[in-house]
Amino acid sequence: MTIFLFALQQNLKQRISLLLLLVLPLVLLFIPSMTGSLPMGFSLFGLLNLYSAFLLTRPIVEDRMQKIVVRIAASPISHAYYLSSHLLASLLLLAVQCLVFVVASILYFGPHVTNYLVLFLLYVSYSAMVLSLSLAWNSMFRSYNTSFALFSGIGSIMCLVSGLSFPLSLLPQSVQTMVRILPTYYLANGLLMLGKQSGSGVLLSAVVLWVFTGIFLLIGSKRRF
Amino acid sequence: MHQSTYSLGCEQVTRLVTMLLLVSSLLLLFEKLDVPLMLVFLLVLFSLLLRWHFALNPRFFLIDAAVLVVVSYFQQDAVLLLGLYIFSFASRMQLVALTPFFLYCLIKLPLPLALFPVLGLLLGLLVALWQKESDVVRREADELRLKVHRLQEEEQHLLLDYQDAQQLSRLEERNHIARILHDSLGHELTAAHLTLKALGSLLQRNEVEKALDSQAKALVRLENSLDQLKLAVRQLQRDDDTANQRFRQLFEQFNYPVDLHQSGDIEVLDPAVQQVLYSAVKEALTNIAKHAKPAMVRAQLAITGTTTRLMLENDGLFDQKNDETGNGLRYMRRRVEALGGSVAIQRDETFRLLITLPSKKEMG
Repeated sequence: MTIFLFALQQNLKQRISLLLLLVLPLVLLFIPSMTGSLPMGFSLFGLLNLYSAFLLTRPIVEDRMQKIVVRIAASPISHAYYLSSHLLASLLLLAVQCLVFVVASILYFGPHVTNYLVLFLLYVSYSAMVLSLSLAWNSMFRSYNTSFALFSGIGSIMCLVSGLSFPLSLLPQSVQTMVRILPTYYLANGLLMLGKQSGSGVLLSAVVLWVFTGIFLLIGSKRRF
Repeated sequence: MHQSTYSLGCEQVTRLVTMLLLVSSLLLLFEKLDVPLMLVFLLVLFSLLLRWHFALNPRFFLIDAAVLVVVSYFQQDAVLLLGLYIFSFASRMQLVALTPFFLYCLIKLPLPLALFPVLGLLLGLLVALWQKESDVVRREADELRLKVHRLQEEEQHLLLDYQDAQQLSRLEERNHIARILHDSLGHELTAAHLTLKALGSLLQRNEVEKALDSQAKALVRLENSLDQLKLAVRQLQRDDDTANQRFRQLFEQFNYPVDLHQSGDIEVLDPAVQQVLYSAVKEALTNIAKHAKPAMVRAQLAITGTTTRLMLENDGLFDQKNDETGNGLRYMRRRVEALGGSVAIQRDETFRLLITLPSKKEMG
């Protein structure tokens, strides 16, 4: 069995995974939306995706806590191969979550609400970013519980102020400027641009998300024992 | 090779300053921070992190900086971020590379913001000078370590040479005795033997006077032989008083009174064992004088036919946590172990040194 398949199996073994990946995205569709903008569930999906990504990085942290990485370091498997297998497995599951949500949206809202292909690509970019963010965040902690406790607070605030929990336009102007440094802002911005049918705006947001992904990967991929 | 802590500290400070400059540039650009500018900022951050993560050629920074110059034509505020590359160039003393970018920044940026690349340049030069100084210190430390290593090797060779010299002197001594026995004693005994044979013939012929004369000659020959034998035996004997005296003097001349209990004779020891034991006692007493102010110094020397044990104990240690493996003790341990012995240290209220040596040097 390859590490990729093993990581996939490990992730799916967590009971909450299936709930987060397949059921909760459907619940988001029923959240009422403001008139003149994309459904509220589209941005709230970012919050769900963030916590799903955090949960999917748990096996990597547990491998470090249980010193399995030390054994892997002594084996002929490279750290890059181990990490990329885990991350790709998690990204695949997150992509499935995005796909489930987008397909369900097409069925629920109809095919003409927005460009669903672009929406899916934006979600996949965001998934990659939150996955690498979780990796970088977890690399700073030795215990998953401590890491999760802090992340649940900070993650919620981050989503709240960056326009995922409620529309960005409701925030004060000064806060709107400040939140541009937050990575989660670029999903809200991408959705806003998608609503305005600005292709370049969506592309720019997606590129920023991928650059954030690269930065967090560089921070989080350093081998720690 | 183990990396010196100096260069590590320098690298950490370089990263810290880079982070501070990044945060400062973000704060300076905060008011104008739109999505494209944020993208440029993130790309600069990514390029810096990439260098921290992978050992890329520092010259690739030139490409990054050149790209940033091009981008600054479309996004004018991005010029400020060149200050980060100026810091990177300056911290590596790449003055030729940084000059065009520095001048470009000075031309493009208004005065308060123009101080940012100047700050980057100054901080970079400071870090570079520190790095240079650290390199000198590290090189000196490396050279010192190399010298210590070579000295240890020399010492090892000297110990081996010493053992060889002992063996050679023993062989020479043996040859010398054999020569004496052959050249002098052998001749005298042969002559005495022939004279006594002649004496028997003379007595048979009743030539008493000649017989008495032969007897006298034989006696002289035998006395000469006896003298030669004494001379040869003296070569085998050592000066009995010297070794005992040397050890006693060592304890008596020590700064503090030593309570010495000795059993057995030092003279029975092999010369190599004697020498190593003597050096060990000397080293141990020097250590006591250096690291303690003892009220009590106790020495027990027990010599048997097979083993020699020395116990040296003292109180009044200056530093209870003092490292046990100083150079003196390490060399002592090596000398003792080279002869098949062992050194043990017990540190409690007192410092106790235990040396065990075979009384006869172990060959090979």
